[in-house]
Amino acid sequence: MAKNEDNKPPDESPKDKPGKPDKPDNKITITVIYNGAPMPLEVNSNQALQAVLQHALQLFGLSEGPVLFNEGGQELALNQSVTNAGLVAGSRIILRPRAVAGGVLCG
Amino acid sequence: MKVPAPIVDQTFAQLRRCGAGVSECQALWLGPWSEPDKVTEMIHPQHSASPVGFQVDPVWLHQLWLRLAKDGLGIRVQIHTHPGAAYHSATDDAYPIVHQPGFLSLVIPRFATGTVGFDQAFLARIDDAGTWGEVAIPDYLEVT
Repeated sequence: MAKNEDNKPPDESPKDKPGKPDKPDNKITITVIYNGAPMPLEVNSNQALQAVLQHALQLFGLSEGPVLFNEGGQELALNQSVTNAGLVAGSRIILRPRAVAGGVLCG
Repeated sequence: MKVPAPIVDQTFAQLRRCGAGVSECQALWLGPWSEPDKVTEMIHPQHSASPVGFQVDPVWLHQLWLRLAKDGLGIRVQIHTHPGAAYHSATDDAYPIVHQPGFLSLVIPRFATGTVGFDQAFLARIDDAGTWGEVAIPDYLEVT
């Protein structure tokens, strides 16, 4: 039966791209980088990035602050799935503050 | 945290050069993850600044994050200047470069135009609850 890409559910994991999940539960391992330290994080391909962010914060002992970026510097929208964000097994994402500032007055 | 004296000297020189006695400035102390209690390098972020604040360039920040991972380095202490007395402002609390418990933030008074050293400086540290609090400089910084 021919595939119909237009009818494919948006959160369905791609079958023919590298880095596809090996496990039937769509789990993949990505690397999260924070302050120079890369850490592996197992995520579900259908999971929203909001949940990935929370797990990443916990991984580094953080309660708040940083957000997720791809290696190219684009901030990753948290309301999309891991798959829709273009993340596959082995992907690296950056956990860092959106803004760094200081001073005697708010800028 | 062990900080070599030449790095302290280099930091003050940079803060003075950048701020010129009229603007705030930030510097960062880095160290290898293989020796997390040592500072081995001072870097000067690309940032905008005014007499009352600064903001790091986000593109520069992203490139720093990639470099840190490539070189196995972490930011150990953030340093910045204030025009007058040193303290940790609400802005300083809200927008640090690292949010992990144990991270240190050193504030230098008078745009770093005073004596090189920590006289009248202010050191803040993130506690296990994620809250900034003042700590005694000799307890956390050792110039070697």
